[in-house]
Amino acid sequence: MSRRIGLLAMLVSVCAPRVGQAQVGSVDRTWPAGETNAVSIQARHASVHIDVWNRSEVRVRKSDPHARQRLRINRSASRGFFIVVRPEESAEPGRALNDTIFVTVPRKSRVSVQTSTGSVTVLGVEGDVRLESFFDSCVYKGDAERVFVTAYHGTTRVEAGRAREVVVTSGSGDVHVNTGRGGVRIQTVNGDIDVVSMDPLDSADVRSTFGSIAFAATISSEATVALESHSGDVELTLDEDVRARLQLDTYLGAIHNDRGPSAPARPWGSGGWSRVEFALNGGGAIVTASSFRGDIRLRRPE
Amino acid sequence: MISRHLHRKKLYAYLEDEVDSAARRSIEGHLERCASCRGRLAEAQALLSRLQDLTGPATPSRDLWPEIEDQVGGAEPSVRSLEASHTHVKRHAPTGQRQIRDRVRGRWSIAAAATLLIIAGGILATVRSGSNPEEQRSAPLVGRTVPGEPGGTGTVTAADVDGVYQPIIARLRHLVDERSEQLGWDLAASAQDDLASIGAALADIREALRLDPDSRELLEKLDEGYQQHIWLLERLASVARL
Repeated sequence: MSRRIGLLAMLVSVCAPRVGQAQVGSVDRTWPAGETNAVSIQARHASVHIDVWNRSEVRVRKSDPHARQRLRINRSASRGFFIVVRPEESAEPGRALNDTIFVTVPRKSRVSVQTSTGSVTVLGVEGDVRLESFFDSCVYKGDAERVFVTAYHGTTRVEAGRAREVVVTSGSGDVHVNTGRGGVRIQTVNGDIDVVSMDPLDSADVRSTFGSIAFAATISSEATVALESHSGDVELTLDEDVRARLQLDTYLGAIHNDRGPSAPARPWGSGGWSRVEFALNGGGAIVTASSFRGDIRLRRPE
Repeated sequence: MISRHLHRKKLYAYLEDEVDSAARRSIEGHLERCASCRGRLAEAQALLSRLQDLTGPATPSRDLWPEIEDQVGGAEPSVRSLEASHTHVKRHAPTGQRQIRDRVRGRWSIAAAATLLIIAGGILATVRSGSNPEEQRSAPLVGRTVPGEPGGTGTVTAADVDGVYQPIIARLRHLVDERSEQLGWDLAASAQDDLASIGAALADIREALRLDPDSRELLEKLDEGYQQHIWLLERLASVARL
């Protein structure tokens, strides 16, 4: 009997997927998730696609046997899973190495993904989500409470209707955020930004240097909203019954206001900022919209 | 209204002959009037010309993965780096007529520029606090960081702000240039474009400050522009490391 148990144990130890071992070629392995529910992935040239299931396990797949990528998977009690994807040593560096790593995690996992040339897609994860890609897109859709994205060149899309906090920084990539309830902070250099919210937002801080900003969100009567671009237009669409005090500023652009006073564009040297201040429905939230060169538009909802 | 600067996408489409005749006329009309966009166009042309000399994808000069694996040995490096890039640097409490604006104003920055931002925060504290010497005295950095204003009670100028930021930007720029071959041509092109955009924005603000040198709003915008410049350079330096 003890011999059988010993053989069985040996068989299990040989066949079971081993954490910490480099995985090459095709990979399809599943491990217990552990208690931390944390999964971090660092990839240079690989794209990462994460979805969820109702099991307390982490599944990692890499289906292209020809991809010259090597996975190293580590797990610890404090850090959870840490997956590193790197090119094989003999592989020529470059974007042709792109491959996709598919990871399925428990729904409540906390996920952190960092890649250089690959895209990142995370669907359904409800723990904190942190995404970073330099070249390619970052996409999140789900019910996470906090979503942080650092992008550079690619488009960012976040649909997080229950989020308390969404933070996105990007260089030239456009940013699309659909959120609710809590706060949103977005900053780009050249990327355009649009923000939509069906539930009342408590705060929004949205800034771009050259990009335009479109903000069509329900806001709470206690909200603070700041929208600012240097060269782009800033367009707000606020609910009919919103209670807010607004300040609209532009240095060279015009103020087009469907719900209060407007102001024409002014040329250089004609006296600084054009400013319009007024209240809607007695005031409440504080909303500022500003652009140096662009127009400011306040629209009624369609 | 005075037309805005041309978006980079439009400039590149124009250079690559991907716009229709109406758009081309519109762009050329803007270029005739806007020196800033003519400059950006010239830079883009030069950049495209240089890029045409490159063949194939950028190749790192060495294998960078050992460094990454060193990082992996620490505790959640990716989480740390993301948190660092999302550091929200809070400033001194605002006063006066800018209350509405400042209630909603946040600050974005990066951990690597934290020291700089403390110094810059000192300058902006002076900009914002203006005639409130008590507030200035409570911030000891202020008096030391405003050139020519040892008591921290004088007027901060654009030159003061320039003086704080430009040496840091020069160092970061040098770092990025050193690592530029690791960026790859497409990111390098995008980076040049973004840096040019920020440069154009700073030029706008300086021109406005020339007309209205006492404007706090404009000084704040100059400060914001510099912060974004630093964020961008730091970001590029970090991607080059990766």
